[in-house]
Amino acid sequence: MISQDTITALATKPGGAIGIIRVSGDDTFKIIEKISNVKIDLKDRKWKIKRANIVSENNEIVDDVVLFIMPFPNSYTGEDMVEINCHGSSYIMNKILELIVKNGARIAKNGEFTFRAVLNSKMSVTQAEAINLLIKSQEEETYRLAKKQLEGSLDRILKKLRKSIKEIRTYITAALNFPEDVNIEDDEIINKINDFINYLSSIIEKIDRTKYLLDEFKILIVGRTNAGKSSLFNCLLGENRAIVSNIRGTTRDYIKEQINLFGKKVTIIDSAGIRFDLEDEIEQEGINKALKLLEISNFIILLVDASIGIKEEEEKIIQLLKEYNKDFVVVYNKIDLVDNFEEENNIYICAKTCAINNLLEYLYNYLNKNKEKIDFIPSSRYLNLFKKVLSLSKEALNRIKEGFLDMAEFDFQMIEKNLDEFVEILDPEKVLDEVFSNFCIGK
Amino acid sequence: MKEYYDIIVIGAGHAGVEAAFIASKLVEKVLLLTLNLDIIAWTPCNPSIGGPGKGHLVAEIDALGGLMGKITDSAYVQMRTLMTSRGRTARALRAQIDKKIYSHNARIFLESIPNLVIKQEMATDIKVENGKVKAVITEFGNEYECKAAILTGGTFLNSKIVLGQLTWNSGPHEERTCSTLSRKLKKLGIEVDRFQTATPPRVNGRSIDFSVMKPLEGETGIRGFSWGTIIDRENQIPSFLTYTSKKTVDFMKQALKYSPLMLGNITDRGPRFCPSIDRKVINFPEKYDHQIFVEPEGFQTDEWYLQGLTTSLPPQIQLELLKTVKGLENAEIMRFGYAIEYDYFPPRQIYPTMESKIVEGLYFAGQVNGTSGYEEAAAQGLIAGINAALKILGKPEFVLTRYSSYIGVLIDDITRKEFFEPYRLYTSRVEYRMLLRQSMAHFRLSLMAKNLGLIDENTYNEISNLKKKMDFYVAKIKNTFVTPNKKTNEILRKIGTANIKTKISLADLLNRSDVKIYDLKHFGINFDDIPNWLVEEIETEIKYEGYILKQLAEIEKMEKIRKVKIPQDIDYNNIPSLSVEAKDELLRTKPKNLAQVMENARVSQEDLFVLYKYIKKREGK
Repeated sequence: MISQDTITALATKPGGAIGIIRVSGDDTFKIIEKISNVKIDLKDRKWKIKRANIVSENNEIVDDVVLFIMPFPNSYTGEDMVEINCHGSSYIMNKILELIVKNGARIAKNGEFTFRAVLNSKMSVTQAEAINLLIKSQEEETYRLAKKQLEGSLDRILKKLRKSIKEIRTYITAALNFPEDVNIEDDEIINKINDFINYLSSIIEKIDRTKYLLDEFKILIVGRTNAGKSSLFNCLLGENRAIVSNIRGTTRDYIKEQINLFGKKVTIIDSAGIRFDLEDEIEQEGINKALKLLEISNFIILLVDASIGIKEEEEKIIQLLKEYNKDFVVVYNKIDLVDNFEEENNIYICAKTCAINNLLEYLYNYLNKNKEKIDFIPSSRYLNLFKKVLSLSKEALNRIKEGFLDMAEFDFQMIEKNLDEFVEILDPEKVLDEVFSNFCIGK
Repeated sequence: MKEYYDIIVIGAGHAGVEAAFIASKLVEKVLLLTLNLDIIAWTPCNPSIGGPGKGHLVAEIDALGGLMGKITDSAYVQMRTLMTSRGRTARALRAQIDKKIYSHNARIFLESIPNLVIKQEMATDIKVENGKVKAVITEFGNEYECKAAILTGGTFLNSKIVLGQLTWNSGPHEERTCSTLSRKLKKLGIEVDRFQTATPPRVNGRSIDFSVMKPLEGETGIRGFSWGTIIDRENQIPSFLTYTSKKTVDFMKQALKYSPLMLGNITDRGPRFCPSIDRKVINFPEKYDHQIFVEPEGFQTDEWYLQGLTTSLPPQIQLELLKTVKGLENAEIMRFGYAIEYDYFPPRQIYPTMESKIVEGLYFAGQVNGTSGYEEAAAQGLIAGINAALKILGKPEFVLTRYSSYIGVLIDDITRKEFFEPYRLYTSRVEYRMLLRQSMAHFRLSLMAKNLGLIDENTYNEISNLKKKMDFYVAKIKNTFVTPNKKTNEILRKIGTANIKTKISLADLLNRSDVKIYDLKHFGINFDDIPNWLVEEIETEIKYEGYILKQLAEIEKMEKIRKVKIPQDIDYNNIPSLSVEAKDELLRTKPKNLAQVMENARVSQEDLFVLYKYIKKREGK
C-alpha cells in the first residue's frame, strides 16, 4: 500500500433516508475513534459493522449511525476505510463531514477513491473508467459495455497489443544486436508488424463504428439538389423544421436536429446546400464543410431521386463515402413518380407523404447489429491512442522497408511508451487529471 | 631495495594494456605485472575485435588516445562492416585479427614506452594502510610501493576449467591462475562472486570443406578503427558461414546428459547473449539452423575458430557434434572447447572512476568487474588508467555520461545496475545511439582527450577541421532551397524522383527515399574537399535529423536537471514516492545539487526524477 493522507467525501446526495460518507487513508480509524464512541479492533483485519454515536467537539451526540469498517487491504481503495451510514439530512451529513475534516482528513478530489484503488492495484485504469460509466449509464447498452469492461474486456485487448509490441521489439533488438547469434530476416519482422497493424485496425474500426453509443448517433442525409432531403429530414423530425420548397438550392447550408429514435439519441443532419460530388478544387470552403460533416457523421443516407436514378453525381458520392470508410445506405425517394421498382434489395420511400417505414426498419436493424460488435467502452481516449499507435506503426514499417531498422527500433520504443502510459500509472497527477476528473467526488 | 611506482597495473590483458599505456602518458612511473610476457593482450576466445556495440567502444578508445584501435588496424586478417542494410546507427565494423601478431604488436608498443616497466611476476597481495593502497606484493616476495594499483586480472583469478566431467584449476589458454589475490581482497571487505564463460573448439583448416560454406570477404577502402587509417590490405582471409542441421539438434538432445550444465559441475551464471550450443538446443528445441561462423585464427596458422559452437561437452562428444554440421563432417579438432569459472568483484563496489569504494587508490577494470569482451575490458582499463593518474596529479576525475559515449553507458550500467550474467554492452542499452555513432567517436571525444593531454594537438586539429566541414555542409544543405521550375524538374527527373510543387530545401529533397547525397551535385554541392566517409555522415545527419533532435532535446533536459540546486531545508522523509534506499543515501551524502545525485550510483534514475519534480513543485509554490 502506498502511504497516503486521509480523504473523505459524501458518497450519496443529501436528502435521502440514509446518507453515506466515505473515509479512506492511513488515519481513518484514528479519526473515527475521535469522533465517535467506538474503539476499532484490528486484530483480524476483517470487515466489521458497528452501530455508533457520532459525537461533536462539545460531546453532543450528532447522530446515531452504522459504521462499515474495512481495514486495508480488503477495502475498495485498498486502504483503511470506513463508510458511515447516517441519517440523510443535509445538515447531519455536512456536520459529520466537517468533524472528519477537523480531525485530519481532507475532502477528496473527483474520483480519488477509485484512483487510490487503481494505485493500490485493486483494479486497472480501464476498470476504473468502466465504474464511472456504470454509475452514469442510463441506457441498457452503455450499462452492458461498462460491465464488460469492468470484467476486463479492454484490459485483454491492451494486454494483447502490448504483448505484440514487446515481441516486435524483441525481434528488432535481436536483429540489431546479435546478428551473429540469431538470423532474423527483415521479412519476419515486417510480417509481425503487419499482423499487429491488422489487429489494431480492426479495433479502431470497431470503436469508430460504435462510438456513438456513448453520446449520440449522427445521421447525415446527402443527395443531389431536389432529391427530397429536406422532406425526409422533416419526416424524421415529425415537424416542419426545414424550409421546404421545390426551388433548386433553397437551403444553402446544413441543418441539424436531435430526435429520439428507438430510445436512442439521434442527430439528423440535412446536408442541404453542401455538395458531396467533389469535383477538382473548385471551392475549398465548400469542400472543407462537406468533409467535416462526413467526419462527424456515424451514418449516411444517400438519397436518390427514383425518377432520375443513380447518375454520375451519385456515383461520385458513393466513391467518396467508400474512400472515407463510412457506413451508408442508398435510399430511393419519390416512388410515387416511378412505376416499376425493384423492391428486393433497395429501400424505397416517399418522403413527401412520410412513407419511410422501410428506412426506419433498416436503421433499427443497423443500430442493433452494431451494438453486438463491441464489448468495451468505445471512448475517444482509447480511440485516439490506438490511432496514434497505428500511424506510428505504419511509419515504422516504412522505415524498415527503406532499410532503416535502427529508426524503427526507436519508433517501437515510443509506441510501447505510449501504450504503457495508458496501463501503468507512470505519472499519477496526469492520470488523476485525465481519467478521474469527470468522476463524481464520492467515488 | 624497494621499488617505487606511481601506478601499478596487475594483469596485461586488454584492460591492463590500456591502463598501463594511458597512465604512462600522464604520470612518471608505471609498472605492468603479467603472468606471462608472451601472451600480453591475448585473445583467448574469438579471434576478432569489434562488431555491434563493441566497434563503437574501440573507436571511442582510439578517440581518447587508447591503443586497441591502432593494434587492431595493424593486426587484422580481415575487416568487414556488418549490417550495412539495417540503418546507419546499426553499422558495425568488425576485424578478424591474427592473435599472435596482435599480441606481439601490443607488446612491442608497450616496450617502447620509456617510463613503463613490464615484469613477469604474479601479484599475490595488496598492502593497504589506513584504507589506502600502499604497495603490491608478488609471489617472489617483492613489495612494490605505489600510489595507485589497477587490478585487471581478467579471468585469471581462482579460475577453474571445465571440459565434460574433467575440471582443473587453470587460467584460460592453460595459463597459471592466481588463487590468493581474491582471498586477500575479500579480507579487505571486498565482495567476491563467481561467473562462467566458455569457448568453442578450434579445428584444422585442411579438414574443413569450405566449398559448401558461404565465404564472407573482407573489404578495402573503408576506415579502420584508429583515426586516419584506411583499410588497404589486399590479402585478407575470408570467414565462412555454415549452419547446424536437424542432425545437430537431434544429436545434442541425446548428448545433453553429458553437458556440464546438466551435470551441475558448472555454475549456470554464464552469458545469455553468447549461449553455448547446449543452451541453444535447450532454449530453442524447434530451431535447427543456427549460424556457425568459421573464423581464421591467423595468417600463418591453419587453426579455425567455430563461432556459435561454444561448448564444454566431453571431447568425444564434441567430435561427434561437429560431424553434424555442414562442411565440418571430417573436422579435426585441434583444441577442444571448454568452460571457465572465475572470481569477479561485483562492480557496484566501485565508483564510475573505477576506483574501489572500499580501498582508496585501488581500481578495478575489465573482466574482474564481471563484464565480458575484450573491448569492454579495454574501455574500462583506459578509464581506470586515466582516473588513477588524474587522482595522483590532484586533478578532477574523468567520468563520461551516458549521452557522451558507449563507454559512459558501459560504466554507468555496471556501477549502478545489478547483473547476474557477464555484462556485455550492446547497442540497445545505449539510449542516445543516434548521436553516438561509431563514425562520430572522434568528433565527440577528441576535445576532451586533447584537454586531458591524451592526444596531440595536430591530431586534434585535423579532427576538428573535418568536424567543421561536416557542420558546414549540413547547414548548407538545409539552407539551400530549390524552386519548382522547368530546370529543377528536369534535374529531378534525371535523378529519378518526383517533381516538386513548392519551394523546398535540399534537406527535404534528400529525405526522399529515392534521393542520394551525391545527387545534390546537380544543385552545386560538390563535396570536393572532404573524404567519402564524411559525405555519408552528412547524409546520415540529415536523414536522421528528427531522431537526433529528439535525443538532443532529452540531453538538454538532463543537463537542465543537473543544474538544479537542492534546497538546504529539504526533508527527504516528506517525499512520499522516494524509495527508502534513495532516502538513506541522500540523507547520508547530503548532495547540494542534482548533478551529484545523478553521479551517485545508489540513487536510481526514477528517484532522481521524483526528487526533481518535488523540488520544481516546491519552487512553484
